[in-house]
Amino acid sequence: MVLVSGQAVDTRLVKAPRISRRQRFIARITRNSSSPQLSKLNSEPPSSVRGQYLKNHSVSCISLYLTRPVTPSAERPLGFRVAETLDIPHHQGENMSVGIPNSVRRKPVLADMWGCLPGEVQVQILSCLEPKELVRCSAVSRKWHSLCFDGQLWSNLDATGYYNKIPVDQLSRIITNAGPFVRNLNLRGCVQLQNDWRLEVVANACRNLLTASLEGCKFEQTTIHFIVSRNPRLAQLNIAGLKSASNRTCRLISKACPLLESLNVSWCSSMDARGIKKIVEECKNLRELRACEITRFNEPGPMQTIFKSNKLEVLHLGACESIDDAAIAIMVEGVDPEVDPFTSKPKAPPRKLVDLDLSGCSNLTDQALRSLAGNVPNLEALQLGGCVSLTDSGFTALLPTLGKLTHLDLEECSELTNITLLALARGPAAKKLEHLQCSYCENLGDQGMTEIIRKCPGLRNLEMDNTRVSNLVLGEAAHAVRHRLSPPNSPPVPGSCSPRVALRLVVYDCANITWPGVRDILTRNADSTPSTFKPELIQLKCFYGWQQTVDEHMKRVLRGDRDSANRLECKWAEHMMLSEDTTLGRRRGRRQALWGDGDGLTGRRRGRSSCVIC
Amino acid sequence: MSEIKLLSSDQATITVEKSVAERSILIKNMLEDVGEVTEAIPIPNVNENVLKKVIEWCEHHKGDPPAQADDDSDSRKKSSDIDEWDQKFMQVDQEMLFEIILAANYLDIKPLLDVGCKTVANMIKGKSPEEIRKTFNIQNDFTPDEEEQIRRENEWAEESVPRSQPLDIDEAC
Repeated sequence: MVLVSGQAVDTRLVKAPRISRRQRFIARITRNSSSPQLSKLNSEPPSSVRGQYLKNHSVSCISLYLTRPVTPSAERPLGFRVAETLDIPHHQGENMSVGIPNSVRRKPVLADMWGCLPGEVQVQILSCLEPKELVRCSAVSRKWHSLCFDGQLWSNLDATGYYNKIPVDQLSRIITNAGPFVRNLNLRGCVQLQNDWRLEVVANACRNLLTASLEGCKFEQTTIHFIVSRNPRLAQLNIAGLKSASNRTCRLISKACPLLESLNVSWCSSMDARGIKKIVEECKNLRELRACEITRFNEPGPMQTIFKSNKLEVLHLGACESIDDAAIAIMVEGVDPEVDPFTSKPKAPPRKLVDLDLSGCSNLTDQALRSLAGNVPNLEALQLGGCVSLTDSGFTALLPTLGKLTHLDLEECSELTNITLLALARGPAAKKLEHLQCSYCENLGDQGMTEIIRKCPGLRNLEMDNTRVSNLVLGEAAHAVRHRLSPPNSPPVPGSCSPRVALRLVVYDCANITWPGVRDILTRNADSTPSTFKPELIQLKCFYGWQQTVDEHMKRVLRGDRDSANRLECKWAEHMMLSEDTTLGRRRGRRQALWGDGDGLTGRRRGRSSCVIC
Repeated sequence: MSEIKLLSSDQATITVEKSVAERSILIKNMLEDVGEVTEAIPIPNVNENVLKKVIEWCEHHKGDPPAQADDDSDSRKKSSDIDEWDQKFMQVDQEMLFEIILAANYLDIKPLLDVGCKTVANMIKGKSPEEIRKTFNIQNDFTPDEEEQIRRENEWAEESVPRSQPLDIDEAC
């Protein structure tokens, strides 16, 4: 019961529904209001100050602040705090408030603090949650349900974490709801949308896409065309693996998406290079083109267009069997280039290419490498895996002209010898090289590889399985890592800096790598002597029968538990020495007993036999 | 080093370094508009305790580089990347936490608002809807039928996110 300005308000007469309507009204205002908050329900300033506020501040907040409904404390539902002082403003602006006697005052109940937050703050909080968590939170209450499916929270709609779990009706509802808010859409692998009647609604909802990845969605051509034609601001489009996309799709893209920067049409088997030509011609901003396994690149048109535009920085043409030496020559020099009379080499402006993937283009020969030589000065990544006809002569021409190379993939270029490795190690990019893949280059051996390890201080990943390298390379790598990257001013102390992997070596299926070589690496990794301690480690992938031990060892070293790592290594060495003395059959039994390695020898493949015998 | 005075909602005057107070964009803009002020600046929506707490944060972060142009285009903000001091700072009761968020929102201190939001997001993470309701004292206003329907719709999103990281079981040597 409260007496205010001569008015008697019998609180018992205030009916519950009316209170809740009022509360809802206030709650709505609170939610809609921007920054200045009305939440200080229990800490009202004295009336004298309030008058000052009224003069100085915008009325909207203050007036609401003062017209907070008066509700009897006993009937107050959870979620509202009991104001210490209740007052109702007089219509003339004078206030008189009466404090509730202590006996009537109730202990403040937990307030609906969440409800006090303005909507945009609630959205900001929820934006920190993962999509799945958002969906789970939608079950809290009606308000939360609408909040969690608010389009703002789904502007980056990336289904990567749940594409195979989310049912089609919820996915389509989220997309339709978020519609114009969605900027980045990744539906990679969402096959559930295929042939669903809701698909059209979904395709229609998004009109402001900047990036769209529809890889592997199995959409019909009409759907792709629908999406492409409704999103003129698309900058990135990935329709890899969509069999329905054809050259007509390319024509539509070239007309509808003039701002396109990145396109992936790999494995679109109904499309060929003529469609891509159209896109390169029309989309002036195109920087990245991925078109693996696309046919008809041997016709002069597409390559000539790529040459003329000279905008592409990333070009992936893996497994395009139609690409031959002539196509590469046109791509970098154009048709009938002017020939420099002094060098008798064709004159062409340097290409902008940074990342070139020609792996699996098995028709390429050294002539293609010679065409590239000198014309691609910015190249950082070059992939030529599976180009089996390439030989040293092509690489000795090309490698000295690549000054920025960091990634080189030569997998299965089985003709290569150490000469290529030496050219790389002595080339201008030696200091920059980080990643070298030369698996299955069966003629590569210690001479070239040790030179690479010595001359390339930035190397982080070296894959050389199925080559002739031996323990010498492991020793060289251990030495190199020990001497590289050491900050001269502060010698690392055990325990002061956490260990980290500095170099990853892949040496399985190398007949000349034996267990003492592997043991050397383990010993070095677990070295904790203060004078020689280094936090940089070598991660090893070797013969699979040893791999379990090596992995466990690495785990312990990374954990900082070098003693237990050393124990493991000693035990392993003991076991290996023992098994050298025993016969094959007994050794097998022991391996099974000690390491749980069920198929110790039976599962071995070519080239591994000596791994165990040595 | 000039100092200014702030007047909290409960009439407490707090003196604070100008540069610290200017972490609040609201105060910064106000000072730019008004110029020199000798009187206390009223902060009508924030009480003394909260204001002190906010100033404590501003003082600790006064050397921070100005927040870079916020582009929301990048992926969801990770709620786990709260720096250690801020984590400790935010170890307060729920009421205070929300008051800090409201104050940061009102005073326009974006980094503090961010930290607050992330802290609340962490309170939500890994909780069932029922636990969330309990945490924030929210009433479940779904009918049983609706609740059942939503439960069915959301089934795919269950499991996931383990409550706590499973312990790394040490394999026997």
